[in-house]
Amino acid sequence: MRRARNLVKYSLDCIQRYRTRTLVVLICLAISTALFSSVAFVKDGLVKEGALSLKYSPDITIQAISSGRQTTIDTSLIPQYRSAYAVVSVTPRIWGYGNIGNILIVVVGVDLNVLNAGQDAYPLESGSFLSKAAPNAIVIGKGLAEVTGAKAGSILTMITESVEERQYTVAGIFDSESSIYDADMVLMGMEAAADFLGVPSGQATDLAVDLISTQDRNVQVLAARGLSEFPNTRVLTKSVILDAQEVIYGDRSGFISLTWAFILISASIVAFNQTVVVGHESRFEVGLLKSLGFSTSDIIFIRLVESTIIGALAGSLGLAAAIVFDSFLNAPVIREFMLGWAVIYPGFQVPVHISAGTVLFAYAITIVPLLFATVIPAWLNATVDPDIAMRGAQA
Amino acid sequence: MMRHGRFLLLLGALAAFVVVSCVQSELSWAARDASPSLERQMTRLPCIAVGNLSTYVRSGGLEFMCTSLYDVPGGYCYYFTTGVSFWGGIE
Repeated sequence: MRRARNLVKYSLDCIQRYRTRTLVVLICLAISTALFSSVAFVKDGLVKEGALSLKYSPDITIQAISSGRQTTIDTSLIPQYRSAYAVVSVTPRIWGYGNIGNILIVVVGVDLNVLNAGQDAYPLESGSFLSKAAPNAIVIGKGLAEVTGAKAGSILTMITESVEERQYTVAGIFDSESSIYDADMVLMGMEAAADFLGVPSGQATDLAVDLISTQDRNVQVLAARGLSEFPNTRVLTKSVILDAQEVIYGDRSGFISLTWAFILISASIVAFNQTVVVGHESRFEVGLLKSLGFSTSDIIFIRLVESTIIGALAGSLGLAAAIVFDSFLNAPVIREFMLGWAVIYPGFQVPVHISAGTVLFAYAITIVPLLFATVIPAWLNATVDPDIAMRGAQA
Repeated sequence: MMRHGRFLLLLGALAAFVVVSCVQSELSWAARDASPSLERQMTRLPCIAVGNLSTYVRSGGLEFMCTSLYDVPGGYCYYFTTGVSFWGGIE
């Protein structure tokens, strides 16, 4: 125990003695870790938010296709879809895009007949939720409220798809906590949404299908296959959407991860180079240590401890910087890159998920390459005869 | 060992900050996962208010681009319109 303690103490001395090498390796690794983790945390947060939304989405969504493009679906087909395998319910939905000035909005129709929760249950910052008593009322996202300056009770004028002017009363505004989901959203009654989006009577944007089992993927696949038999139909399962979301954010984070990989390789090369340079310098030291009774394994242990401490410090430094960058500074630059084509509203908090998996991965790939880059030269030095090592170093 | 105290303290403090942030983040996501979200339950849109390639989910910017510039047969937007269709095998 005492021996190990002394070796650790000696390793710490080495870290201080070879200060330039320590600093160079520390800075390179900390930057590469910070870059990787800041992207990974935002990516994990976006996927997590998507998965959270997906939890409530229908098991299967049916869209109508005409000439290879999505179009409105005939609601008279609902009984046929309902008779398909494993289908419990089929609900028509009306939603789509609109504009207020140059701001893109997402208009979602809500069936006012099925609102059964109390007004307090909705995540509203101000005002109240939709009700049957006010069919022309809307509830808007906080982002949209900030851009338009709307408040609860304001009248919002919007141009419909058929280029007609409509006025809506802002009944309520969603709070900022839910803004990742509803920042650009306008909720209104089903009929008002159909009128705004120009969806004819008897048509819907898509159909939400619930199955007998929401967990069993085989049921989902079989049901989707059955529903795909209907003409002009496109069937989307919940798992397909989740896969697509993960791929999209994974691809986007991939660009920066690639950069990170290059930086990590460069950092490892720098670490290796520094160790070789310092290795020449420390060859004398190794020879001296061996002549004083240190074994090869002691010398490797010293370098192992040294590398682990530098790697852990670089990893912690990089991870801490990434956490501050994402959580407190709201991930500038990365945010624009990861959020893609969205119209970003002010006050939009980027979701950050500091997952244990990412943290462990970051530590692992900070420490392991450093171990290889420093322990191997140390082992080569340590296996040389002490007399030759000291003479060689002096030469 | 005492003279290395400051160095080890820095390492410990940074590691503790990372661990605490990680635990706090995991717990808050678990809590969010467990608590029902009424507006998501009601609208049932499987997406968040940021861009996505699938036309099923929200993609304001992409839609705008498609309708204004690139909407040609076999082109950029045609690819994305039909890009995410039903697929999958029985496991």
